[in-house]
Amino acid sequence: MRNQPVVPPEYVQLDVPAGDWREAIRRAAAPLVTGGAVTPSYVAAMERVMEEMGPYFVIVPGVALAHARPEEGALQPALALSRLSEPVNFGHEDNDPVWLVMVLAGSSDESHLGLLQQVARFLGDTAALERLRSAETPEEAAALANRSM
Amino acid sequence: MAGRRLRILTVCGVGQGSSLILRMYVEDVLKELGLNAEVQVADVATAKSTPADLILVSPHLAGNLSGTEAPVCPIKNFTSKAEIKEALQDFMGRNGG
Repeated sequence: MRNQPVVPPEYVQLDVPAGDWREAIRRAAAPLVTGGAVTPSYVAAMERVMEEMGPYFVIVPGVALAHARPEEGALQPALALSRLSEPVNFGHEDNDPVWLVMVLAGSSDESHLGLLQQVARFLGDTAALERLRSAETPEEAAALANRSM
Repeated sequence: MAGRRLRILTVCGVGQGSSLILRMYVEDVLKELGLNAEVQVADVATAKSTPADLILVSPHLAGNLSGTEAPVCPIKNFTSKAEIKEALQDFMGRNGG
C-alpha cells in the first residue's frame, strides 16, 4: 500500500441533499466521475446492482458501500464519501436509514485489496464513524477517515 | 467434516466488495475462536456452485441462495464480530465442532 490518503478531500462531500437512494448514490459518485476514477456507466451499474439485488450493500447500520463490478467502468481504485443532509431509506430492515454513502471503485485484479482492508477497518471503527457525523469540513472528514484507515 | 478444513463462503452481489470486507472480519473472528477454516468470497451467481460448509451473506441475498447444500446464515452487520461469532459458534454447535 502506498502512503497516500485513501480518501482525498476532493472525494468527500458533507451534507449532501438526496431525496432517495438513487440520488444519494449519484451524488456520492459524482466526484469520482469528475476525478476520472470511474466512468458514468459505473454509476449506472451501481444503480442496477441495487435494482437487481436490493440494498445488501448497506453492510453496517447507517452506511451504504455502493459498488459495481470493476469492469463496468472503474478506472482506478478509489473511494468517495458523502454524508447526507437527511438520512435516506435504502430498504434495509436492519441498517436503514443511511446517513453515509461510500462509493467504492475497485479493480479487476487484487490491487484494491489494500484499499478494501482499510475500508473494512474504518467501517468497524464506530468511534470514527460517530466523529464523522459532526465533521465540519471535507478536509476534517477525510482526515478522520484516513486516520482510522 | 472431521479431518478436513472447514470451508466458509462469504457472498455479496458482486463478489468483490462487501463480501471481501465480511471475509476479513470472519477471518478475525476465526482467529479469536482458534478455528482453522478457509474463507472464500463469491457473488450470488457462483456461490451455488462453490463447495462450502457454511455460507454467510446479507439477509437480502439469502433468498437467492436457496437450494444450496451448505446452511446459509444471514449477517446483518458485516463488521460486528459479536454477530459473526454467534453465527460461527451456532454452526459449530450444530455440527459437533
